Amino acid sequence: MATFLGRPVVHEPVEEFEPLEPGQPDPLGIRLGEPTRLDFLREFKVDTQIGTIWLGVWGVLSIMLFVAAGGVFFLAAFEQVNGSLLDFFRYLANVQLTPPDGLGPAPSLREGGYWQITLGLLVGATLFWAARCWEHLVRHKWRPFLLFAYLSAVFLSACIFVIHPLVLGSWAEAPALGLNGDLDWAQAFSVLWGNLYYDPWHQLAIFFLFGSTMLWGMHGATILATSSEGSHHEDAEIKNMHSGSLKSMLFWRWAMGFNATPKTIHDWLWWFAVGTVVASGIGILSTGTVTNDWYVWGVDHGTVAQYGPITREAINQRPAPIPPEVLARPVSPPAQ
Amino acid sequence: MALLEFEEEYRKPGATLLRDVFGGDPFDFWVGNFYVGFWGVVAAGAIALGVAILFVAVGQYGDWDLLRANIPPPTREFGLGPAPFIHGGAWQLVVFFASISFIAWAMREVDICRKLQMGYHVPAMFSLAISAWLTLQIIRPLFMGCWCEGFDLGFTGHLTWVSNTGFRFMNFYLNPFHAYAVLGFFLAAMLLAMHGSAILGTQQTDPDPRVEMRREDGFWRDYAGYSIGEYGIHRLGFYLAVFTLIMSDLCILTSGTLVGDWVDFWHPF
Amino acid sequence: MQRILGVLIIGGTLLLGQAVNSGVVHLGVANADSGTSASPYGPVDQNAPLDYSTQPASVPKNYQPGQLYNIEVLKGYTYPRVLQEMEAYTVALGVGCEYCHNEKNFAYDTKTKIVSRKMISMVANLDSSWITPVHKQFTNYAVTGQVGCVTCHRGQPSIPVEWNVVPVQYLDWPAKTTKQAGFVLNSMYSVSKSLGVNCLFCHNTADFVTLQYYPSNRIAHRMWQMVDAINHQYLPPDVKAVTCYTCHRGAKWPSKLVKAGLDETPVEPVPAHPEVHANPGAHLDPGST
Repeated sequence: MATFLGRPVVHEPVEEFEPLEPGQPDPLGIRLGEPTRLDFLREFKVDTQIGTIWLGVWGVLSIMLFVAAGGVFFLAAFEQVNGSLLDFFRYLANVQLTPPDGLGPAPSLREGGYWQITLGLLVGATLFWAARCWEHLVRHKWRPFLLFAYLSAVFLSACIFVIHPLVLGSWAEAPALGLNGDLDWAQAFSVLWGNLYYDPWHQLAIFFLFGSTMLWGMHGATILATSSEGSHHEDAEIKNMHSGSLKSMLFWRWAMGFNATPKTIHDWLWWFAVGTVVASGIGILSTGTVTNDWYVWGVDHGTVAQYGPITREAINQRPAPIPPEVLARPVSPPAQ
Repeated sequence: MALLEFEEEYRKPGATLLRDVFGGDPFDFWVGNFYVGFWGVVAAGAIALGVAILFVAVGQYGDWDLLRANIPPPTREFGLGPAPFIHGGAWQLVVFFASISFIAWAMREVDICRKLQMGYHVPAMFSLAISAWLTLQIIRPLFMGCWCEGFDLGFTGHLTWVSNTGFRFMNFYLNPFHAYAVLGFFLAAMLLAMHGSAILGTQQTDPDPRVEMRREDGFWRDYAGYSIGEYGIHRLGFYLAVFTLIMSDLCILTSGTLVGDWVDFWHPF
Repeated sequence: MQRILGVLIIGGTLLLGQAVNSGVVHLGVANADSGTSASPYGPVDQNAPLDYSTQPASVPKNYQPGQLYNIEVLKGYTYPRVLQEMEAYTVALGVGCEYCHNEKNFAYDTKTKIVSRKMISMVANLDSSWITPVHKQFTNYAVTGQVGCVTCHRGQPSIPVEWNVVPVQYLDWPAKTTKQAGFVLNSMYSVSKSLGVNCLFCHNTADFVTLQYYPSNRIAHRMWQMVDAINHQYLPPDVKAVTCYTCHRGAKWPSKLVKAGLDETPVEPVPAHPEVHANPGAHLDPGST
């Protein structure tokens, strides 16, 4: 085994993990270093052991590409602040790599080249990380829920950065890379496409997003409230419920009329989390394709009250014409 | 409704707030799966009244479509006073009864916790969630000096309110509390997926629970270098939700009262 | 694990040191843009020799005070009337006669004088071509004399360039891509700050693109075109551009600043739009700057 960065350490008896394919061991398949114990973490009732981490060829590739992406970003960022370190930190939120117009390679580094290079590296890093995820799921004999969750998040990123721009024919549809650059994109995207609040997929995604936090509040609170009776040993409780889990179930049954079980609550959690990103992705994909103005779509489909006359000249200038029935619609109801 | 097989031994009267304070609780019973209690009666009453007013108001405004129906708050000239029913009074009444019902619901959850001898974490968390509603509809309008600052009660109506309020402060993404809250929401979604995957992914048949735990800890340590532990993850989720809600409250509370323009807020930089 | 961290920290520091050393990264502040457009047109150098070969024929070599020579824009004005105008200019720009004129020969065409002629005709044109028609369209009565030198100059010869110039091409909505829309959005902020309003003064944010029915929105379109006309037809190319802020200075409507001085009386307001109930959350004041 390679011992470049550390020696393999066995710190507790574990099963020997099989390599990815029989007979082809991962040359970087080592656990790194020694585990560290941070005792102050005991105050927060979390695990005190930091490390060890498994290296693995996929992980190394992914980290390398990620660091390279970061390097290109910082190179471009320093170019924007004319090399001044003070200004770099002053304008840290404002440095951004903007995408080029059109679909081809960027005309120059500054006009989109940096963006394309960084994004390409990030795409590689993301996919290698997915391979790492899969490898670990196999080694530890987990079912692939984590991989599907990760891939659905990748799906959303792909929709935003790649698929939607490709479908609409311009990289300029994608966000810039940078703090304020990304925020500007969110604002501009919504303004350009007729206010995304009225996109039903976006609404669903927000429902799942807020629902995720709500479920965390509910599930975290329930476990913490009954942890004195061992409800946090969730694997054991799923197999054989003790008083903690029973009380958790009864709490919700009496409060809202129905309840999950220690196992099915995690189904709720998983589906809400994945629902967030998948619904978002579909919302992004339908923008510019299903409709180019979500407000007008909403008025058409009766979900949004019409707040004023929809101006004919504005509509006719749009790439896709709005149907004339919308134009003939009466003016909004009088002020109350 | 059918009881769960173990439920019988837990369905006992006693331990509610009213009983401990006043010595008796006439509402200490269940209706189907639902526990009633004094607070359940309050909640049911407030919900019934609120929904009734809702229906009357929607009827007066005329648009019965579920998504389009909208009950607007009073206009600016009424300030913090009562408004006529059509001109915002309906909104005021519905908000009042809704708030009562939310608080009663939280107190009912407290009663259930006392009965089951659990910690009060769930009603505490729910109270934080209610605080977001109260902040938006009551506390901030009080600070701003008029009920017109509350949001419209309507599906797409309240979304338009959010859109307009965001642009009223120029660029709400630049509100640092908002940014922290958004970060909290996205982290919560990610951690939710991770925790759900961890539990669902390790549903195997090995009877020894230590094997499961090692497989969980072992996976996270190999994958990410750290495993927070089965107790720790629930702490993390709980406090992340707390953090997110507090940031959300602050983000709207400071807009209009302390800061009028979130772009200008960063101007010194 | 600690060894890894140590290697990373030391390596990172070394890299940073190399970067600083090689000049790619440096400590210090880049040049900030100066706030005022330094005027290349004045004051006149009184000691410069007078070169009559470049002057038009109407400029006399023997200048006599009390008479009018070389009048182009103020045609038909009597001598006292011309003096009255000149005094108004000095008050509006906060300068003395020597800023534009060579005091040995007031008829001599200095660079500053030539530019001033453009400015004077511009002021008259702004009123008749832009302000008055807009006012009539939206308030149903016409006014004249809204714009004077002082509206932009406010007692200073140079105009501060406070906000970015908003290209008139942004009127060509819809933007073609999200990136373009982002540029428009950022420029909209400068419009907001210049007028001291928030987005809701002109827009219904339910749909920026199709809901353009507010009078303030229509007026803004005309004003935008006016700014572009000022920048491209009247201003010399080497002068930094005029923006909304130049006249509005943070007010919804600039004060009625006529030639008589820095009179701050506000004109009748242009109606924006009523706070209709049908538009949830549309508040124009608290939160607006």
